[in-house]
Amino acid sequence: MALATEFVPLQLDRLRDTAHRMKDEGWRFIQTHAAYNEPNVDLYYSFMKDGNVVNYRIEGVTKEDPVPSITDIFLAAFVFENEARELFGVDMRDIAIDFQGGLYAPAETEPMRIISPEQKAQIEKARKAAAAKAAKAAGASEGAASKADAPAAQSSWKLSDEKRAKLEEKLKEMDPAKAAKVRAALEAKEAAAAASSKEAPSAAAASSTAVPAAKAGEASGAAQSPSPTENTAVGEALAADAPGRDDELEAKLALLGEEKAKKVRAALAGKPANVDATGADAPAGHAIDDAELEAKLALLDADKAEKVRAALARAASAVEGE
Amino acid sequence: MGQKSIIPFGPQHPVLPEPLHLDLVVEDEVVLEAIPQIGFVHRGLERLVQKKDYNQFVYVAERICGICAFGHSMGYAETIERLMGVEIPKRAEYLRVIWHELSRIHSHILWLGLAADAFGHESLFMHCWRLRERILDLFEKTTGGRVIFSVVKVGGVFRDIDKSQLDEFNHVLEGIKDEYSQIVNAFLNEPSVRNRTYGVGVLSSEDAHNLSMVGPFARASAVNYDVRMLGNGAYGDLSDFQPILSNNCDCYARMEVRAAEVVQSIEIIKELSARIPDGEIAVPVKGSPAFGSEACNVLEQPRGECYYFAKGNGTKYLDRMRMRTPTSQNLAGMAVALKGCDVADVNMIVLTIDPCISCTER
Repeated sequence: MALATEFVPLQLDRLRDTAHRMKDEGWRFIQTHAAYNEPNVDLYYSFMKDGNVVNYRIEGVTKEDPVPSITDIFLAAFVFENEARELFGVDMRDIAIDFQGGLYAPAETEPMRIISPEQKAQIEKARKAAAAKAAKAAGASEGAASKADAPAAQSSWKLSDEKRAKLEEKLKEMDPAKAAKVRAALEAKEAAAAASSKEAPSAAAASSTAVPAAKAGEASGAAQSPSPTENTAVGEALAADAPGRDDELEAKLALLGEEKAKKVRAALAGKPANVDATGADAPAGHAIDDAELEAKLALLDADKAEKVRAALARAASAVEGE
Repeated sequence: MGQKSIIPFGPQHPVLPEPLHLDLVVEDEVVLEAIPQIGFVHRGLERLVQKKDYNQFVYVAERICGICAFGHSMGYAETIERLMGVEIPKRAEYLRVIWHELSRIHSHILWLGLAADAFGHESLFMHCWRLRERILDLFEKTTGGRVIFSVVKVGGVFRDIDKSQLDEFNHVLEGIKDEYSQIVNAFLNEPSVRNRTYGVGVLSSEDAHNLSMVGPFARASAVNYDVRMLGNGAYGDLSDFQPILSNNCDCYARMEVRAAEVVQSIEIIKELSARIPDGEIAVPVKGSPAFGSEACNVLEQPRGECYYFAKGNGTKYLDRMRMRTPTSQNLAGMAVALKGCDVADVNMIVLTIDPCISCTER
């Protein structure tokens, strides 16, 4: 017998039924505790049987939500329910041994709800980092899928219901304005993918017709390397995804601060102008580098950015002098 | 038929090492109801987890209680290791369990002394505590501390116990066995002690289970549960482990269970020190608990099962740390066991749950 633990979501209105069921099934009550999940509170009810610990999590309990006591089912919960009321402000009802707020009698009301601005900022930063990491991981897995089956993946790009639900959960925790931007970017990407899927069947048809043609010439070689026609079709499918990439950028920008995002957009907006300014014979890659450089500079402090620009100007004038 | 009256019991009382208040509703010297009240030593240590990072909090966890100090640091570290998916070296697991069992021995002997003091056997009290000092000497030799040890860290332990020290452990523990058996003989067979404990404060097996009692208090009512039987850490390498149970369900049974658990702990230390593997005693732990990650853990403290919960928020500070200690779980059982007893027996019943109010209030 080894210790196994799990966390299970539970609706508040199912609490007492669940407690009754656990008691009937011979589960032992371990504890109850609250955890502050700004602006509300999550309640945890833990039970154990045969080395399995089940933690029921009731999320988003507000100050106004009356929470029924389970002390008539498990008397041992009375300390924890009094504690949740005093330290977190949970509206516990009908506790068997009710201290009426006199268990700990803390100097401050609901002390466990207080979070300093520094802590809040740190948590917010970590939340953003976690969201960005998740987005990156999602992007990487999509990339892997597209490598395995590029045309099919490009033509059917759509978040699975599970991923969408997870994303929605994260978006709920974000600033509503930013969340709206991410949603818009996502919809645009899906629309672009849907549009490309109309072209994809023809690309797929082109590749499927190309393979027999190649087979007629050299069957074994065609099976291993794509034909020129096939390459073109894949290229077209990838090109159709270009708006999607912009949307990805938008999604990333939405995670940045508004001011920083504005600077990056401004820098990127200068990219075509640079291409025009540099003339037709100037290498396109050079113009893109400038734009990227500007985008990066926009993320730096103004002083540092100015220093970098000055250094670049000096280097450019030295080259011209030669 | 007498008149009902309320007798306040504690928070200052000779039998209470820590502050607990009971409102005893009595009639003709018989307790009809006991309403417990705590809240005298609440320190808000769970809150402190937001100000001390997850490594620093090991030392805070250790200071929750002066008797279960090692257990709390171990339980907390195990929870963080679960939270972050850290696997510690086998040797560290063994070292933790050896120290933890040593803590159980000193805690139970301390309790036996307090019990002797409660029923007025002062010399027995002194003998118990004299014996306990020899256990504390072992702690001092291997950790540098007698109460707070600071040897546990997230990812393992700070100090090793070498072969010669382990041999000394076994030598000392074997050495106290004879003396200990004489003391236990006084507790279990002395008529004056039996008079104060036998048939007093009965909590039926059914009640103990329904009220979710833990530790020796529950096992004395034949509840077959001890976290060690789950085989976490080095406990899983024991050749055999059976919880010590009693069917008497009274104060005497609680004393009997604790007395036997001391011998059981000595055997566990002996077995583990004989088969402790060589190797590292810690692994480096980097990074912070992931945003939204949750983990829980249970550990058998000397007083019973202790539950730990941790929630990460992506920073080095935890979002929430929860420690549900055995006494807070056993308060309800104590209130039930007190119903119907004589006023003179209240101190004995309260003591036999081995209340630790500092743990309960944190």
